[in-house]
Amino acid sequence: MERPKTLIMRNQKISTLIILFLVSPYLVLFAYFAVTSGFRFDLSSDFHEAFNFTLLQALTSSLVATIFGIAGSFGLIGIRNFFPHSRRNSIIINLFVLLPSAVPVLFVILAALNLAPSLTGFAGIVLLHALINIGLVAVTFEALLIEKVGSYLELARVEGASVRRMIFKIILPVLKKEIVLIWLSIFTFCFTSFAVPLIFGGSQATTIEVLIYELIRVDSNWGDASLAAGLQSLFIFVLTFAIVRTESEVWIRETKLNFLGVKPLSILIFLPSFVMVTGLLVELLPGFSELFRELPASELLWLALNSFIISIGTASFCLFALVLIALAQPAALARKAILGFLAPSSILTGFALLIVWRDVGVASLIKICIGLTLLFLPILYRLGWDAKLRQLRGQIQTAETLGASHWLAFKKVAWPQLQPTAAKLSALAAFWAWGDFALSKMVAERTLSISLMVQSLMGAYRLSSATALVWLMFFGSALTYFLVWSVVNVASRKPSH
Amino acid sequence: MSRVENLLIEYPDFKIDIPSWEILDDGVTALWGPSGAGKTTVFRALLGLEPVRSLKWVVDGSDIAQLPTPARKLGVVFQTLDLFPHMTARENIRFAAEARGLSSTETKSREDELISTLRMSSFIDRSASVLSGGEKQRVALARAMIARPRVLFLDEPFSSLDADLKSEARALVKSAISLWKIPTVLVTHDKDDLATLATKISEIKNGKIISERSA
Repeated sequence: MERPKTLIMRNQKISTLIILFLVSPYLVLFAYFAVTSGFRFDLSSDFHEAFNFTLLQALTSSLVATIFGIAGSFGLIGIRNFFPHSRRNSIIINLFVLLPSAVPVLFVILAALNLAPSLTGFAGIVLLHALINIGLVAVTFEALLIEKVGSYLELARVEGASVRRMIFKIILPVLKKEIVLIWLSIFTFCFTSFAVPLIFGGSQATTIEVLIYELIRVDSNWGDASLAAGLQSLFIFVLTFAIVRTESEVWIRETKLNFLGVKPLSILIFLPSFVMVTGLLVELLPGFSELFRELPASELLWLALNSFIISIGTASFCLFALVLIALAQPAALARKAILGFLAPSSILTGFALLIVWRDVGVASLIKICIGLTLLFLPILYRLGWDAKLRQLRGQIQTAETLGASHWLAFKKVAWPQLQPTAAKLSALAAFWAWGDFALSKMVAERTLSISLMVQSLMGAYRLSSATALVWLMFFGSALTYFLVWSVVNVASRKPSH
Repeated sequence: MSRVENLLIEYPDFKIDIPSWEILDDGVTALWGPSGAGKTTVFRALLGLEPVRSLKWVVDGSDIAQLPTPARKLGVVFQTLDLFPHMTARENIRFAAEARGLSSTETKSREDELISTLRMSSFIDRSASVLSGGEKQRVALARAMIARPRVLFLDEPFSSLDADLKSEARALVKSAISLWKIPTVLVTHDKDDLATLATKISEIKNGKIISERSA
């Protein structure tokens, strides 16, 4: 069915606006960089040092995480065979394995500090980045094995091929592009990581992100900061084009890859979560008494209220943007652009927001919400929104063929089916927002949220108090998750008759 | 004749219950039934891809159900064909020969024979990813046959082909398996497949074999 031209144009306009919103930090930084430096590259030795160190730690961290994560995926298959096959068991295992990647990075940092306070410098940064990413790589690679080569592997097994032959003749040749993409994604994460190098780096291990932060917040040197940010943006922007995501093929044949499972390798994927949980439990009890001694209840309440506002605000902005995308039904090119888009780092986004809006007070909270939406939106889109929209495309076309207006098709056909995913994704944004401190630290003029207070306590080496506060943060974020999830899920549900 | 015994699989909402079933040593034993009857589950169980503790499958006096999948020495063509896309047609066929440890001379002679029987010479060195449906189907069959499996398994092997190609493909498969004398299990819901290929037809419904007859 041919759609009216006005509708197509309106949808294109919305899609363009969304893409412009996403790339706006890059545009602002490039414009500011052009105006302040006139594209002159007077690089200081600090920048050279920071760039080399950033590159080295990102390369090492991403290689370690990718190699151990891929090995761990065989452990994951082994462990799944150990428990009865059920959706519930699969979700529980995934949740545990993904814990260090899914929770705010502060949790992992604090756990590591509690267990190994002397872990600093290059080794500390690499280890922390690996702990955060190994589970994610393992789960992603396991999914690739099942979806992309599962049927080949089953067939190869019937034909008598050994596991070694399967790895070298099928898995590596077929999945080489995906392996590079996984590595590149982890590399980008490590390259733009701020919290880990800030806390574990020490004075001898400054990364570009930390350098930009220090240039602005410590030295007030916006000129050099813009140069560093400009180069960093350029680097990430180029990577954005390198990371072209491929859509996985759908196999009509169900496969079981039990024979690939290597149970002992599961230690690689369970260890990071185990370290994190243990590290956060050891200082829990002394932490609470210390925390309530040091921080007055009124201040704690004020910090929690701000975190709650940031969380709800971010969830609302993300929900609004997701609904806009659903309404626009982006065309193939726009879809690819959003899918392949790599959000700028927290520090770059914060810097861009500072350039366009320097007000403080309530403005800081709004800026944090906008900034976090910029960071989370591409992730949320990839985490299920795009797949859901693609699923519904045929139904919407059918509804429009039957004479429904675009709005009616959205309201009666698309939204009722999108609502559960929208609830989950916006709740996830609310959960993550509680844990942000990198963007908040850049934008806010003072310690205004729980996560900023945790970071400040860690900086003062009051780890017990920070641990207790992290647990409060966890409960706060879990509570907000369920609140947002319930509200979005229930809000537009029809009353039953 | 090989005998399958105690093929019992229980799911919360479905059950496969085949106390005894005979697979011909010569010709094609067809497992025929509607969608959801349990054909593919039986197929996967015999290949060793679904664990079935109670299963006994006696071939030439030994119970091969106790062996892991690779040691059962079976050949398979799945409905999805599953050609390795990064290899050529020839490399796909050689993969199975190497996996079974065939010598290079043996591989070469069998490969030549299959290329001629299945008429693959025009595309044998082409990448598997660019082959047409009919060509892919022939390569998948050659790959499954090259090691002379104990039993060849075909799961709806013609379902992805156009009607015109189907009859040609059936004739090719028939000539190849009768020439190589490989006992074959064919899983299908298509009556034309039965008419062309089957020597014996076992009808399956709701997880049970309800009738058996010669074709």
